[in-house]
Amino acid sequence: MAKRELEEINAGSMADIAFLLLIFFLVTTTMNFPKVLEERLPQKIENIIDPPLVLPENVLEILANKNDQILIEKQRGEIEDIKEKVIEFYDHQLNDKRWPKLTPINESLVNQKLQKYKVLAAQYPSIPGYADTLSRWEAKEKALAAIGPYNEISDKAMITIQLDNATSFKTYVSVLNEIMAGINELRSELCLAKFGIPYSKIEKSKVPEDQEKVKILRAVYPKRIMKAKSKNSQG
Amino acid sequence: MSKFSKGKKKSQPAISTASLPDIVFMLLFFFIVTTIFKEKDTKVIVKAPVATEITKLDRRTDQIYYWIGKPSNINYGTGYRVQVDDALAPDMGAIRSYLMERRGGDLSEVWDKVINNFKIDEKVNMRIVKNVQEELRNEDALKVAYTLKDKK
Repeated sequence: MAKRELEEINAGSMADIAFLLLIFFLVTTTMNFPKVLEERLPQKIENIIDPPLVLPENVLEILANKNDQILIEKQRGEIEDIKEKVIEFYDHQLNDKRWPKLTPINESLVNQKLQKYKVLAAQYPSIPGYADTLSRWEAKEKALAAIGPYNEISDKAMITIQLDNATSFKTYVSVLNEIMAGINELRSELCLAKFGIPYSKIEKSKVPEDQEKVKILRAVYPKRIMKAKSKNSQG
Repeated sequence: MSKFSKGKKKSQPAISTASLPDIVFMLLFFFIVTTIFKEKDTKVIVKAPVATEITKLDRRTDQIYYWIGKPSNINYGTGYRVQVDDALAPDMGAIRSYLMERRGGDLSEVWDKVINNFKIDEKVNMRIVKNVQEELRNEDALKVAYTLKDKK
């Protein structure tokens, strides 16, 4: 019986096929990361003894009623108006009485405070308040070194969202979204001006240097959003 | 010369397996990339609202999912229902007991690493959302994220 010689299969093009398939899958597979707006719920406090007194200029009050209508600082407004107000809330003239107090942070002030609290913290190590204040001013010194003199918003300033029980989730999200849009715009502007890169590029970065920058930007424009109790919360 | 060709047999040539590792690796990579662990099946219909200021959440973070919407099956009723991870919650109290079960006996800072991921229908009113979050606050699980649609 005659044996036929089998020709060897040419495997040279196998790699091409493999690459073709690989590229096909790379293109067609979508990595859907969940896209989210993050929020931190307030801690549960058993009994509030004394609600702190809040100055009206320290609060940007946004109210959404059951018909999803918006009230900004007691004035009828649209969702689109919120962003503008938020920017004004953080970034305004130094002596504007309608908005939270801004403190110009500069070298002389920081040095003066640092000296004062260094002495106090060394003198009274048992009082944690001094050490805390000292570390806060040290953080400001770092920020000052990175971005130069800036205005710091009062630490009592906050944005409150007041909702009705029947307000739709959609409205809440758009209010939250607009507030974040305002804050992000301010942060981006500062980031682009001082570091030369867009904020969105470094926001989620895992590089320590970038994280330091994000920390500074967040300190200058802090996100302080409170969900105020709605009037009919008992119902 | 003929010395070498004496016992010449025509045997079957072997198929080249040189590219086999390539194929196997390719498949491996493909599965690594596309595998999603434990995709939960939803029992409620959710149409998430759109937003622009969204951030991407790392899929590897430990998450508890909450869906709020109308049930897809009429047997579960017609009002808005809350689904926590795999099951519909019969009432708000069930959410808290689920959280307690999930936490186990550990009272330390477990919740700092867990993100409570909400997928809420845009028409749901805030009362339901607030009631669910009240249960979270009772358990000190404070990290919340809302999954939304990217506005393009």
